[in-house]
Amino acid sequence: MTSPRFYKTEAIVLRHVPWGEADVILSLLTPNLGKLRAVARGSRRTKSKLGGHVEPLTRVSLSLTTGKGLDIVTGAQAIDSHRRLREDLDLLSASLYCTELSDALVADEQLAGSQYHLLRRTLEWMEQWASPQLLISYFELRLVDLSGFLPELYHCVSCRSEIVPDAHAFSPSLGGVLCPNCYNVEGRVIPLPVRVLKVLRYFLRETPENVARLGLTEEVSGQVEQMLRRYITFILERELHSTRFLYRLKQLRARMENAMPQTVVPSA
Amino acid sequence: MTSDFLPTAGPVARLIEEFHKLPGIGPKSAQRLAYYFVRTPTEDAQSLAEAIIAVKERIILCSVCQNITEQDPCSLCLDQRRERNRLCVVEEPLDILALERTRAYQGLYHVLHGAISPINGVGPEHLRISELLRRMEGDEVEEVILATNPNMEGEATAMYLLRLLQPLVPRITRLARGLPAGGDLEFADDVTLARALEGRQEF
Ligand SMILES: [Zn+2]
Ligand SMILES: [Zn+2]
Repeated sequence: MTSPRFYKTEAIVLRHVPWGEADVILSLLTPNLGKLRAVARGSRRTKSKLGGHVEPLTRVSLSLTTGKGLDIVTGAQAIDSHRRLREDLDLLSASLYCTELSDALVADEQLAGSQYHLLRRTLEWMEQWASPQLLISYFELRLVDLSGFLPELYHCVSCRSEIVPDAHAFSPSLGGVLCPNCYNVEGRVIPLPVRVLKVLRYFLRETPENVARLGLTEEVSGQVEQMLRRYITFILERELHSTRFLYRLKQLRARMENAMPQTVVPSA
Repeated sequence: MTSDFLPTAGPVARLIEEFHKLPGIGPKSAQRLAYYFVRTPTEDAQSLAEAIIAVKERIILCSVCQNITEQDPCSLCLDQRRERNRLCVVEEPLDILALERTRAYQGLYHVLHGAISPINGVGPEHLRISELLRRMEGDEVEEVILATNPNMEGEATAMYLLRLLQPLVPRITRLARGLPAGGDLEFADDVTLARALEGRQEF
């Protein structure tokens, strides 16, 4: 048997699952060690030194020791707790979606430095950008790119001809755009208006600061969201849990708006 | 005696399997428990088995507050001395016991049986929220106290309920969050510390 090894790493807490009486199993994304799972012993007790430092979304500096099974957290100091995200339901659900997507797209034994960096910046941007949905879409496209699933946006994935402004389609299974001539080679395609295609290209070309200032109509933003969601569902072969909650909140918002038009105070 | 000589087939294997399904019981603990019952007197095993069956046969959920009870409505809901205009929402039945021990609360309760966890696939539809909304019909309830846990799931649940209940209840409050008694300032995370500072009181 090898003797226990101590090590330190920075990490973002992707997920925590209660274990036993007061323990928690953490899923972590690290800059240099890929994805890790570790036990935080006793962290559910009110007086635990670890508890508040290992909540999901937290960027934390960890001390760990290798165990017989999972590694054990021996010390934790939050670097950024993202309080704003945890105290706003819309930002919280959007951020949790981003961490769940990172968890799903990064394989267990894979080094994931750039994915870590992207998630870290995204959680910071989440506190700043005006539109959480715009950030989600941007994050999705950058993350599928880093995970080797960059969709082809410049040439038709069937005939290789260059894409010119026209009525295109997107094929999740072929991983890119189909020109009008090839629209029908694949059964399950998503209509891809030129405006949506332009937004996706803009995401890949521009700096995050410029993307943050992008003002999209609700219609275009919804089309971008749908297209990326369907592409990601195809890649993962399942839907992420947190998309259901995002959808629930959207429903609730719509219901509240319809139910209480009289509470809207007219601007003087 | 080493475990190599112990029969792990048949009833013992089945018992290990059953223990393994319990929350917080790993394969090692499951084995240890199973072999413990091999040595235990039959009466003790019988008594445990009966206690488990009794829970399943006699314990139901109160149709009003969703707490576990033997009679419906439960004794808390029937108690006329309790303030009926105040409702404290908790995640689990055990939370009621903890709050009752303080003797600081005289109102009624509502048990959600869980907390929203978007990543683990637990949504509002899995909790006893429609039962809570039904209790808001009529004007009896004047205050809802959100007493979910001070972790991410508890906060998400409280924020969701706030959104849902705001048009229905005059006053919605949240348990104060801050430093635990006996805790050490230097070990507190910044969210807990910031909240403790904001919630400071005249001394
Ligand atoms: Zn083509
Ligand atoms: Zn009751």
